[in-house]
Amino acid sequence: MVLKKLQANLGSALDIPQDVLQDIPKITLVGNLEVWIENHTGLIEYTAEKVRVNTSLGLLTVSGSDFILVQLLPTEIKLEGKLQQIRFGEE
Amino acid sequence: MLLAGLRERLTGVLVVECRGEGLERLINAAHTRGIVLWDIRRVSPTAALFKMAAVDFRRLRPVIRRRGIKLKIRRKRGLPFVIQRLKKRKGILLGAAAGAAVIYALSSFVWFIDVQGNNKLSAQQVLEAARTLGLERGVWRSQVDPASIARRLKEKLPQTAWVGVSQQGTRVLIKIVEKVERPPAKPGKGDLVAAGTGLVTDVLVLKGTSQVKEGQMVKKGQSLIAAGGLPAAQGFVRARVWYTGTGEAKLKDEGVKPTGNTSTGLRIKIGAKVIILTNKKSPFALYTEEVSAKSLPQWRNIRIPVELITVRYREMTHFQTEMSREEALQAAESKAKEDLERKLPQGAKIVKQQLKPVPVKDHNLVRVDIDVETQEEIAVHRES
Repeated sequence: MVLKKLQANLGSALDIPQDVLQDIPKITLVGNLEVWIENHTGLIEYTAEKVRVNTSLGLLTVSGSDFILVQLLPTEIKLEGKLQQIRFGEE
Repeated sequence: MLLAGLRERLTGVLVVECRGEGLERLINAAHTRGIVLWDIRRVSPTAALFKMAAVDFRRLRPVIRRRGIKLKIRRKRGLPFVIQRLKKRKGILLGAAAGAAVIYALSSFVWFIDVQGNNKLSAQQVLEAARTLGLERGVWRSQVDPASIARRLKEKLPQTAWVGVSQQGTRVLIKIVEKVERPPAKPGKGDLVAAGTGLVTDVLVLKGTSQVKEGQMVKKGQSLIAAGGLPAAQGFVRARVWYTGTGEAKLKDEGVKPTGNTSTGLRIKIGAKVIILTNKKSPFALYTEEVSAKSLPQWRNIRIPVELITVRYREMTHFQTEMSREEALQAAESKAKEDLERKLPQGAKIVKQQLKPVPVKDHNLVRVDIDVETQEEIAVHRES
């Protein structure tokens, strides 16, 4: 924990992005059409309307419609469809 | 992604339909085994479609075994499947190979022989001559040796100055340059007459009767030595002949002249449409323009209606020159000399030369005449 805190402090002092230093998920949106989730720890649920992914910050839920899992890599997910909502934690 | 797509095409891609519960677990399990699934799409709560590499399919079996999931291959794409299909349908492969072989075989014959550059010779004559040298339609292409045929064709056709033979695929082009035939110099006939007006200085009669005496003025066309009963008169008549060359120069002159700066504009003409590529307008205020068009070479009756048009703009500038009287005189004199040079016949020997400025009404103008007297041969045959 001490090490984590040190990492976070050092990172902010040096202006290094947090996702590089820690296993924090990085989420990139392209309009409401595409979402990239980096640093995930596993796919929990996938339906056409809802995708749930495990991350170091807990559950990440993406909801919308017509979801397609375009790419699934060890730490990266690319999702296409009509995005409506992204939230951390259970509903 | 383009490259990745290429790799998939080479190794083969399966579109798989999966039915059953627990799709997420299948995905995660496949993932931990290093099996990549992509474009995963739910079609119903219990069914999904996804793509995967064909080589991984076998490895997916143990993953689904205990999960009550059924997999069904919907589509196979990629080179391995194309090859598989072709193996099943050998006819297509055989047909394609046969087609290629036929085209290859046909392309090894000469199908067309064209003759270019013949005017007096007919193409038929040239083709006939080529046939005797073993070049005709349907001949094996490798048997045609353009250099030797060109050489022997030139020997066969004495009317030609140069013959070139070139092969372009199944077409052989015979290019011909015909000899320019000069009419043989005809021996003169009849009387010798004066070629121009002059004062006779010497008369030498070889055949015929002299009609003029030394010191006599003769006019152009006047008979000098009569042939009488002979077919042709022969002899020499020398005479003094006078010529005048004139030249003018302006003291003050103005006009436009090119500065040497140029610019080009390109246009492409397709049919009747012109597309302007560069320099729609001239970058110069004062200019002349020159338009040249290049079109693609015509082959047989096919003409591609595309032309490249180049417009060359030349910048012009106003100029104004002023000369002193002496400079103007010199300029006029050199122009007069040029004028005289044009008028003098070849072989004329200048005996006397006189330069004289001619007064003119225009104060801005200077004029110079050069009078020369020459000694030349003036007897020519009337018919030649």
